[in-house]
Amino acid sequence: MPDIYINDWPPFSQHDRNRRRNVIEAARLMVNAAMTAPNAGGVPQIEAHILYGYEEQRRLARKMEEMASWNPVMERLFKYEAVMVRESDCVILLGDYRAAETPMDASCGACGGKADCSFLYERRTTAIGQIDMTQPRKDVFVDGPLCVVRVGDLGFGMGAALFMAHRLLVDARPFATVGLAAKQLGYCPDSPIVVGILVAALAKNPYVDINTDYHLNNLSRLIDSVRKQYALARQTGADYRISDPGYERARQRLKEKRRKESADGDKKKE
Amino acid sequence: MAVYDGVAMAQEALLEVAKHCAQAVLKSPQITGRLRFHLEIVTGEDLEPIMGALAALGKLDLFNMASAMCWTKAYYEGRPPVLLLIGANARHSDLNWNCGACGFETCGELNRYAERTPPDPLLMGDGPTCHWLNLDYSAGCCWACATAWYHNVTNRIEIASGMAARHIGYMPECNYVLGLPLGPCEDLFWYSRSAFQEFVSYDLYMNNFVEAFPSHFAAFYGSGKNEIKWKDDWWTGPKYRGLEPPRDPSIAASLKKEVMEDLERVKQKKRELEERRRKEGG
Repeated sequence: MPDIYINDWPPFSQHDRNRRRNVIEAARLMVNAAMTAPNAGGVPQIEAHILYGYEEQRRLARKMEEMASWNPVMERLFKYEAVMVRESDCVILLGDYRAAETPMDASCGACGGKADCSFLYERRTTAIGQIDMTQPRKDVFVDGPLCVVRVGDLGFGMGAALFMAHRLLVDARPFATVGLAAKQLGYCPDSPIVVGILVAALAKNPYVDINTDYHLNNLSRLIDSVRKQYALARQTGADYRISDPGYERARQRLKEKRRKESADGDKKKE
Repeated sequence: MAVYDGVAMAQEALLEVAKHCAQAVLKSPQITGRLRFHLEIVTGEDLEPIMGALAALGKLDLFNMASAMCWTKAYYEGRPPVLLLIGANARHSDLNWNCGACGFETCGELNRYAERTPPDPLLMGDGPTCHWLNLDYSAGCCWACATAWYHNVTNRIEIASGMAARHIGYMPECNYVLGLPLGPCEDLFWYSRSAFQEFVSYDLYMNNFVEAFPSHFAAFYGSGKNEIKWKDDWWTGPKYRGLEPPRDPSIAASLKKEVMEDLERVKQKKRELEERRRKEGG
């Protein structure tokens, strides 16, 4: 009979990869939920990636750490959440490719407070209602303004994906920082705004109970500290073939145990 | 022991499902962790002013009329849906992320613009809007829809009923309100809308289609004139040549005035209903 052995330790071992494969299956269903989420007019507009693997997640996390210096208000968010990217089993990226280029054009007023779409169109290069997004701005995180209805639809997609995660009992949480960094790396290439959803099925939900200075004090750093300290601490050891203090101590413990057992036996006889 | 009317019980349970949906909204994960939802559940005769507002707004937009027809059909058949109103205020941002998505360089500029821009009274959403709060808001609405779905209650998230409610005084603190009709107890009542289709003739339907996709119905373009095949014997009678001239703006203005007056009358009815309820001690 085939046997799929699953254990989350060590990370990225074969049996951990078996576990991660299950999470990727959940992520696939989450993306499907996003694709079929309610939206204004049933218009297709969502693009998605499922990103997983040590190298892929590290690259994304590194980008987030780099971006931490770009915005002092978001610095800590980027740093803390980069740790979570590394700890996740996979990353879902959702973008809305209509948010800037093909808005809803419903004159809803949600972008600029006027009963038309002038707020958005006046801030774009256009020709007879066609928006030119061939040269997006690079000096801001998100090249706005965006259509509020379209971004709202992206929110519905995000919500549907999270709801699916909830049903499947995998931990998931949406992040702005993940999406912003993924966008910088070229994911969801046609979308001006991208949301990242981190997904994990671990004993401990990696997105809650976050201690302060998390970018410095997290499981990965603590494990690394153990490796570093242990490498030094073991250097007090001797040549175990000639002298092994632990063996001597173990023999003493055994002797002591036997002596006690013998004394107890004598007492019982009396 | 007792025997219950199952259909009536299912109808009665819509309110309980609405409560579960409200819980789902509040439970939904957020990017910002800062969005505060406002929730109200409207039932029974309190739906009448909302239907009145929908009918008034239907003069401006077809989707409002479509919603009004569905609400009215279910209500007068004696199986009114329950309306969950989901509102939030994303017009002000204290995130200070300065991401640029809203079109302003900083959150401060967004907030200042919002302060000096009083919204048009008939807007669907009072912009400007912080997109990160908007994402959280929409995800919450999605959780409400999904929860209704898992309770086997037909539903459809609506701009129409949310906007109608907001226009007659519900949730004044919110810049965006969506309505989630829950029920009536049948499959997909809010889709393939029979209530709406009864009022839409084949000609009206096809005229809309021709207007939306003129190139699909275009005749040979070699003449350099855009001739549209808009009826069976399209080669006879007048041919559509290009687009209609824009409407006279005074017509739109007078229609808007009429809608505002209608809404004012509906608001008065709502106030009377509330007053009567107060007197009855409800």
